[in-house]
Amino acid sequence: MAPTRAEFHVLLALLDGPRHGYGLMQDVDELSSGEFQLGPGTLYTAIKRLRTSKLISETGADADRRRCYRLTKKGRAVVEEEARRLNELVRAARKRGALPSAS
Amino acid sequence: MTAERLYAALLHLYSTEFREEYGDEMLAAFHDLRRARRRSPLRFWLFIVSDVVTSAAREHLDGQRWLATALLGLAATVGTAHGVTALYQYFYHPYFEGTAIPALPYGATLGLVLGASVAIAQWMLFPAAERRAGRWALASAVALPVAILFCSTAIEQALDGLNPVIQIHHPVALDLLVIGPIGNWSAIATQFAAMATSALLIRALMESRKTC
Repeated sequence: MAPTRAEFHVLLALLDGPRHGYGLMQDVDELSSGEFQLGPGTLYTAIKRLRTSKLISETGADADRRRCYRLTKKGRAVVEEEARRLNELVRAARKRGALPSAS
Repeated sequence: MTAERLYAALLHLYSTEFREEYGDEMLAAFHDLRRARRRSPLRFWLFIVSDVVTSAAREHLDGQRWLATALLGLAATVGTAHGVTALYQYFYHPYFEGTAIPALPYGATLGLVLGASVAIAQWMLFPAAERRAGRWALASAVALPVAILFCSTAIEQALDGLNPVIQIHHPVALDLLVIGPIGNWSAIATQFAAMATSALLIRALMESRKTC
């Protein structure tokens, strides 16, 4: 199953290394230029699903004793696959004139 | 009431299992988010409340996906039973007079259809890591009594030799299954009540086994 928007953003944020919950919220905010903001509820329900699907795992606590999460090999494969799929979509949108040409 | 206390109260909208696992972290994330607040208090709380309500609803729905697999299994089984009867009636010929489908293999076939369709539904609705034999058993067990109720007319006709004209008296046990014609609201309500009761009973049994 393809990841949801929130799940994809969390996976994308974890490509840079382990993060705790609030760190993930900040990263998602920055990655989407403030267009997509995760609340704690959406974030932790996404984390639960990603952990169950073994796309992320817990790394232990940081200095502030907060649980951190990291991407698994399977999670990396999923985020790369989804990025490829979205890239194809963008390419198709450009071809049909829905987006300005890249050149 | 402080903002943290209010948020802790809102966390009760999630299941106990989820709250125990992530409640403290969510509270810490809320605390940080509030300190770094870039919105007016009203917009901040609108964001938080809508986030809690939508994600809690999703979390509860995720927990009920086994029920959706039961419903899909039920639809496939009832469709098969009534489909077989309709086909036989369509192609009926007096030559088949008195030819009845033996109850045991027919019941076993419907059971296989139910089990297989629940398994397919689980494959469609759950990612590989979440597919469990326990969920399959729960969904099948919940769908089975309701499938018997909804299939009763088709089963009756099959056991009568599928003759659409013939009227044969049935054993009392079989009559008990025939509540009434579909379209009768009280019958439909009874059937759904039967499903809800069996679902709750089986779930309670599984929960008690988990806590033992």
